[in-house]
Amino acid sequence: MTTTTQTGEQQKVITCILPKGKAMPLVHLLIREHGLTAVDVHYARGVGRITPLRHRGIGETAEREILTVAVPVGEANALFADIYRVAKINRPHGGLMFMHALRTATPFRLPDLPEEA
Amino acid sequence: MSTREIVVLTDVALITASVQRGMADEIVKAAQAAGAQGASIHYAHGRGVRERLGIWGLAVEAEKEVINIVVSSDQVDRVFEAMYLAGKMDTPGMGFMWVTPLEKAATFVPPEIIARIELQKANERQAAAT
Repeated sequence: MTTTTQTGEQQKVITCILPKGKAMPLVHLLIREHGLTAVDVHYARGVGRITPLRHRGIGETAEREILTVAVPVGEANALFADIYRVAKINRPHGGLMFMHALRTATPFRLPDLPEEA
Repeated sequence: MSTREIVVLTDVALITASVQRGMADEIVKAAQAAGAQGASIHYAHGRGVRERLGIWGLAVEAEKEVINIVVSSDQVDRVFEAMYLAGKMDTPGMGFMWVTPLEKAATFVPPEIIARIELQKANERQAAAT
């Protein structure tokens, strides 16, 4: 049996660790405006030296949303800047984002489907 | 067109550790003592070593906690070692960890720190010129 693996174009991964409630608007932006299809959100708890909940005396843990998106190499820097701006990373407690290269990634191409209402 | 600048951190790395549920807080504390600023922790289900350990595998929790910590490249070895020791990673079934080099990262950097870095760079340039 022969298996063919499609690897497609080179991609990078951008990961954002965001405050609760910030990820979904960003997901919609990435999907609808930038046409990206490899977007994933999962939830985590954030532990830090300074978190918004520290003053309440309930520990230094806060709920976080982690957005991971695979982007084409050629658009990576522009998308990084866009996400930075939209997610308001450059604000206190705005979160953290980072980008790294991938060695291999599978392409994820959707067929032309009518948009659901 | 916006003239706002992005303050980008380079020379950073991501340390990821997959450990048994309940171990993460202790490991994160050790990482913070070694210089890490913060961490994010999420849950996962792990398989592999647990099955291979046979009867001893019963002592390994299948529920996992995955820790992610971003640190500067010069801190990575120190933080990695502290996490390794706190997590008892040399014991089979306790977990595993790895480091991913990052191209760049961004977060809120207080203006006074940016000013301090710029001043330091200007001094270095001046020293190099003279």
